[in-house]
Amino acid sequence: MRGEAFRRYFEIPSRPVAVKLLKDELEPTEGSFRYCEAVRLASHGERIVLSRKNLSCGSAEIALGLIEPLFDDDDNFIKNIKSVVVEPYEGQNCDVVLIIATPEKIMRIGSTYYQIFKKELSAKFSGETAVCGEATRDVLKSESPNITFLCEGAREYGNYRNDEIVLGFPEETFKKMDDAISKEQIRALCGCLMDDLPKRVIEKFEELGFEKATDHFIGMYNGKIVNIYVMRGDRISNIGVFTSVKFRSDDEAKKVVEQYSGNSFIYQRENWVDIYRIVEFEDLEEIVGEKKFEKELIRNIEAIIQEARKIKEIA
Amino acid sequence: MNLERYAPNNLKRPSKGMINVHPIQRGGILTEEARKILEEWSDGYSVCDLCFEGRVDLIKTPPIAEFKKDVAEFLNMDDVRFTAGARHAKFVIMSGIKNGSVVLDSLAHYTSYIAAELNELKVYEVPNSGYPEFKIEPEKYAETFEKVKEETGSYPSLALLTHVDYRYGNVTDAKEIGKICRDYNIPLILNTAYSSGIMEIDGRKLYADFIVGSGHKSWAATAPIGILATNFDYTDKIFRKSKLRGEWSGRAFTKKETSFFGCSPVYGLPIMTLMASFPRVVERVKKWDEEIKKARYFVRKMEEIEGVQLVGERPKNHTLMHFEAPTFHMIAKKHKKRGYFLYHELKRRGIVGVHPGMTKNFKINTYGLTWEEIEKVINSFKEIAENYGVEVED
Repeated sequence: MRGEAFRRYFEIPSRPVAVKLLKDELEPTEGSFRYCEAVRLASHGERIVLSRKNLSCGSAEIALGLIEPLFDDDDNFIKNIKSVVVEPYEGQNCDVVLIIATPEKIMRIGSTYYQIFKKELSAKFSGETAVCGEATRDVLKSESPNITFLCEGAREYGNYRNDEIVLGFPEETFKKMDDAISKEQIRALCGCLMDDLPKRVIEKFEELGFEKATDHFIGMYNGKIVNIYVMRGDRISNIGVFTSVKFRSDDEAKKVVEQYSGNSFIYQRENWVDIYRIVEFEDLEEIVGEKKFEKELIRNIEAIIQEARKIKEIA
Repeated sequence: MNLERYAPNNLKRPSKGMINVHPIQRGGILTEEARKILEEWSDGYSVCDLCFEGRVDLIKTPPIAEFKKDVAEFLNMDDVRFTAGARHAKFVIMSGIKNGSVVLDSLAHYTSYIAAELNELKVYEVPNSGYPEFKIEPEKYAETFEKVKEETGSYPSLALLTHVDYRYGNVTDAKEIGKICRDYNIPLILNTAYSSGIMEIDGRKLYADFIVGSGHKSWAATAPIGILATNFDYTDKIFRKSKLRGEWSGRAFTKKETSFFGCSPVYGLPIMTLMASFPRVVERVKKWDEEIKKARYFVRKMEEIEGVQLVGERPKNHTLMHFEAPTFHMIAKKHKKRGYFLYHELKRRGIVGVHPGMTKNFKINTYGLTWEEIEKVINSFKEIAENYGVEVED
């Protein structure tokens, strides 16, 4: 069943909810409902058809285009809606898919969303017209997911728990996530974090072509393998840039180290000679976005590469 | 529910008959002797048929009580218990300490951290030297002890050293660290998950107060089984017995050891295979030099492939090794199977164990491979490299 992979993967107790806005008149479900209440009921397996006859919340009627607002504005781009079908998502054609979950689950969804789309999830909310507006109408309009922390009505009458929030997806986006999870395209992570480097530092190195290895960054520069290691300390400020040269024997490597007279640090490890420089910054996280950081880093990388070539010649 | 998926024909091991170089597998491959007893002892709590003492480590038939003494002798420690893995052993020790702080190496296994967390011990890490060797220098333990004293007003309650770390396969100077701990009067746990069972370990010579081992990683046993060895200074505390009495029934469990859940959950194949493999294990640790010869040869040959380089200490002193291979990673970026190409290429050649999806860096363990198998693995890597246009030295 579509949507089930998603639910199981994130271990969400309730089901994803499909919402379809229709310009046709459908027989409304008996009773009186708020939209947010119907969404919660659908997340536990019910199918509810809403219309002006049984929808008891004026804000939702406006947000979902069932009635025209007194003062038309840009926000009111959904018009002439006659029925809203709210039901468990099983892969059917719909407009929006809603997820009710705790912040912890939304955090995990956010991380997976980032893996797939390389974009962050956003939360644009005002505490009013939440499930109907922020998680449904706004999602349809922006064609991007949105997180809402609900409104008084949802908390009071919609039966949402204090620790529940709602995430709305455009149908297409949700399908892509559900597919990726079903096909196990999501990187299986052990969940262990190997360091606490700031994201912008990691992203900067990646932008410069250095990918994260286990404890360091690795990349190629002018055809030479270069490693970058962020020194641990009370503050993240210094980085080491490394490259290595392989020699035919330990003796040859030893001779090279003895004859070396350059400006970098150098040492022998068996038949390899490592050349490195420590580049010192005040505060790496702060400077990483500045041009002078890149310039300084590249200058040092080029210097060790040049010295690596020189020591190869010594041999 | 499709129950057919659990039919024996559908439960075949994909790596059967292949060379398995997975870092956690090599030391756990069963000996012929252990394989011989598999069928006989495979039912549930099989070793409990003749249990009169109420605790697995006291059973006389099969000779587990004697085996316990022999393992203690083998590790040169006073007493031993079997646990549900090395992680359980670490938990048991820390549960006897509780509160305070523990100093551990920054390459420690995650279970060392979790065991501390579970026992409310504050963790302080001994820094490693960073890229490219990531070594733990013994004197850093003393520095960290002083740091703890400065911050908390007292020295740590416990220290832990991962003798051989699972990330780079570095062998740390346990003896030197043991001496430092002795000077500070701080008990030391030596985690030998990747050393005891394949290397000679003498607890007394290393000044270890606790030795933790892994039966399934390094003693040729089926999982899950661990070894906890200690000296009599600590047995009362760590192997403490239940003192509880049922307030209504008056029931008591005076022989049951609390932190092992009364009777350690290793009944059946884990303890039996550990025992059956033991005579071979006692012999094989004496051949460690030959394993190092093979490991160093393997490193040298792998580094003949352009861009492949060992990370971690040099020369290699263990069979668990970590390579970085940006050249393979560049192939992966263009390959339709992405990072999985290396795994599939190796599998086609009868080799498993390199983590699927890993190319930028990967780990291999050569322990127990024959010279022919070593050559086969090397040649496979070289052939794959050449097929994708990566230069290989003659």
